[in-house]
Formats: sequence, C-alpha cells, structure tokens
Amino acid sequence: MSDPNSSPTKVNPLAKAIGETQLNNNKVTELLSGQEKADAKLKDPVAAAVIQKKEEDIIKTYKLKEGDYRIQVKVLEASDLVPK
Amino acid sequence: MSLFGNKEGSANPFVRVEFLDSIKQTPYKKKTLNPVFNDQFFFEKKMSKVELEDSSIIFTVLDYNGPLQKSTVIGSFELDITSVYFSLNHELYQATLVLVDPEDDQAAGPSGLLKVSVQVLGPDDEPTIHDINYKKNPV
Repeated sequence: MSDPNSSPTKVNPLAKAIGETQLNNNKVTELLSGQEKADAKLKDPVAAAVIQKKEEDIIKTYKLKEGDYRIQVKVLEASDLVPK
Repeated sequence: MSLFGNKEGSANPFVRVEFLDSIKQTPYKKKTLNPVFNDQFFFEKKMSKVELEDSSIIFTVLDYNGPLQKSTVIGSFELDITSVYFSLNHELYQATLVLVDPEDDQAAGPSGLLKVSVQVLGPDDEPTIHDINYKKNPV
C-alpha cells in the first residue's frame, strides 16, 4: 500500500528490487546508505546482492560533465593517532 | 613545559583539508589521540573534465605545537575526486581513511585513522539526505 502522504510519486528502481515500492526516493537512499546497507546484507544476503547489482547499474550511468562542482567535506573524528 | 608541549603519547591534533588551491582546517583538539571534530567544509569550483580527473582532496592530520613552532604531520591521505564521484550518490559516507606519514620513509605502518564524509556534486546532481536518527549499532 502506498502512503498517500508521501510526496514524490516517482519510485526509485532500487525500491522495486527490494520490495519497498511504497518508499519514496529519499527513503530508499537512506536505506541503501552506510551502516544500513551493511545491516541489510546481514539480514538478507539475497536482497543485498540485488541491491548491489542495482547500485552498480546506477553508478554506470554517472558521467563527468564540465561545470560547477560543489564538494562537501565533513571531518568527523580521528582515532589511534601516532604522534612523532 | 610549554602550554602546548605534548606529553609523550599525546597530541593537539587538527585536520587540514586541501583541494586545488584552497586549504581549510579544523580547530585543534587539546591533548588527545582520539579527537572528535565534526567540522564541515565546502569547496565550489567550475571544473573541466580534465581538471576533475586529475584533482584530489588531501586530508592531513597535524599536531599543533603552539604559535611559535611549526605543526608536525601525523599522517595524511589523498582521495581522488573521481573515485568519490563514481560512488553511489557521489559520496563516501562516514568512510574511514588510513593515515600514513608521507614525510617518514621508515614508517612502519599507519599513523592513525580518520573518519570523513565526502560528497562531490556536479551540474544537475542532487544531495543525499541521511537519517540522523538511524542507530549505528542496532542489536
């Protein structure tokens, strides 16, 4: 069932792959990022493999273009530093 | 002992981030080997394909020795812009970089770890939003 309150209606192809068609694009992106992806892999390796394949397909569509680039860097933390 | 003098096994670390001719850095953290920074920087530049392919971000962790002495390098990591751009959502999210000391040929191994997030957005690319409430270690 789709959520009538969720706004974009366009569904990310990844959502279909993981049987989450009711999710909007942002939610799918969240689901596939960082620690969540690692968790999903542990919970369901088959779904994780499908997701990984879809991710690779998406990355293949990326192309470098000339233009304005914005680079965001977050420096979070360092650990186990070995000073001289 | 000076105000900034380090006890053995301690440092006043800060991070320098270099992209092309821009340099930004975090404030230093006093006497710790496991500093938390949570600092955010933006770089904006019009770039050609060739420039993009050749450019990188250099992260360097340094030890602040006070205003009268030069800071010493603890370790650094060079990250290709293209490797970030050709990652999902054009980003490395909470990635851990293994630092090495570029000035020490005899270095036995890593000189620390640095956790960063980097996103490279070009024309027509949309930023990714992450759920900040997500539990890192769900049981």
